Amino acid sequence: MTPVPEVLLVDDNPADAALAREALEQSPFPCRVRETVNGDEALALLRRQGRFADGPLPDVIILDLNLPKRGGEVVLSELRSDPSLRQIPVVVFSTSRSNRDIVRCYQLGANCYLSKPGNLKDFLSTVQMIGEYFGSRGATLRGE
Amino acid sequence: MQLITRSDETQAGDNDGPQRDVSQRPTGIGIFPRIPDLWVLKAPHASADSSVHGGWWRASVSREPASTNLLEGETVNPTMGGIGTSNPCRRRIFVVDEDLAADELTVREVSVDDSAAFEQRRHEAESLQEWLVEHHVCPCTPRSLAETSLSEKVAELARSNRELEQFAYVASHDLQEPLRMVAAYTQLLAERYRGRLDEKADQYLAYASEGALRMQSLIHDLLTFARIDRNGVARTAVDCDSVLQEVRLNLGSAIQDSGAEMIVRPLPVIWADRSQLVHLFQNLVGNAIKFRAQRVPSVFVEAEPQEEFWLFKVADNGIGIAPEYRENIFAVFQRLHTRLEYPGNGVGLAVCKKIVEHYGGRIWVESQVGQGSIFQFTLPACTACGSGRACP
Repeated sequence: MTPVPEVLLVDDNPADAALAREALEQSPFPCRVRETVNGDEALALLRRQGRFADGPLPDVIILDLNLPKRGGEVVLSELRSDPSLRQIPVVVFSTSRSNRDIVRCYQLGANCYLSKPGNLKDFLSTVQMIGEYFGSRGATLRGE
Repeated sequence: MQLITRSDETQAGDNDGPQRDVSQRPTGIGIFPRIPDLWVLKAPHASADSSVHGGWWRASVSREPASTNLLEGETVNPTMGGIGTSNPCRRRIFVVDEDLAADELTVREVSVDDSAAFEQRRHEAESLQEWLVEHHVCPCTPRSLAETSLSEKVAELARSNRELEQFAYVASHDLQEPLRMVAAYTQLLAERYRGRLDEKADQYLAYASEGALRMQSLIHDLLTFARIDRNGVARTAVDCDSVLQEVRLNLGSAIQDSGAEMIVRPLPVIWADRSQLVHLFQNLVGNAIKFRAQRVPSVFVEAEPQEEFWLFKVADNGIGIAPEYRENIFAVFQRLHTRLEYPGNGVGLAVCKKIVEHYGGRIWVESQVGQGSIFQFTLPACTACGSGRACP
């Protein structure tokens, strides 16, 4: 049986994180969600440091850009330069629609850049789509 | 205090004139029997080798007889003063005050209109050895002064552009984020609690979420407007015929739904940013269809060569624009109708104007209410071939 996809949500905005978590957990393709609220925590979790010593690596990282401490771009570039983490798909999910951010994230190795939709329905379906596509893909690979 | 002046007959390069160092004195007075065309004051705390850009307090004196401002300008550097103009019809005494405690240097004029007072003041200053008029060429020649001023303006412009960019970024990210939360959660509330609150509450929630969504769309449009200058750098030879084809494609459903008829005469090639031209034509054609009268909309596009410009016309048979609004419609967020009548934020024509003006062109409208409008604008003729003339 295919394991449940693991999603790491990196977002400092609790309102967005709550919506995204709900969308992922109640999706037709439900995911297990872990959350971190800044770049440092995300990297610690991925490197299994401190209180994050246990737990699986995520199948997909949904990464906000504007984060306290180390920002999304830093997290992205550190992930991509770490041989043990570089395979994990990263979907940048940010409010910004600026070309500068979009181009920069793809240059740093993002798998996908999605602007957070302003409309509730679109927001929920976008998050579910991320979980379904990237999460289940990773989980399937993990299961094999 | 060191005061150096250059009179108008002094030639550039003559930099070995006498100079008096009065740096120990808290106050220095410079008396100008004639108005020099350029004078330079060096602040005592500026190092001896400081460059023109670094430590000079400079001022130019205008020879415009109409000018009555003795000294105006702004401090460009804490160690510098500014640029001043003077009325050469009058003799003036400039007094340099130095506030050592505050580390400040100021120049003020002692008003002496009549000769006797001037001579008296001059005599006083002379006897106190406080005055200093030197024929000395400073490193700040009029040409380098102009260049410095230009490079300062360029730097200032770059700074202001950076600030605008920063603003656009802040608007796109930091303002949208809380707004998105308001929109999402009012929608969530409206959806999850529909029917469980009373009818009024449902209506309030609908208003709140509608307001948030509209605010999002306003910010989005404002950003589009703000970004025009920055993005207009990718200029190539753009075939306006293909631009209109793209516009037709983009407006496909509006054209189909309204049954609009579009007639496009052969259009020229323009040296511009393609996406901006698409934006420009799409706004105008889109408006022609949106503001239609009770008949099948018809849009006519053509261009005719003028000397160094092409004159484009986008004509429609729509509702038209009353004369008193023909200027206003090009302002940001200017609307003539309610959102119920015609949707939109009133940014389209402001965007058109900004794009056209970005290329040195002009945009205006001729219209008759109930008959239709003709939007006309000029864009420079193609310079790709180097001729600068309108290409056939």
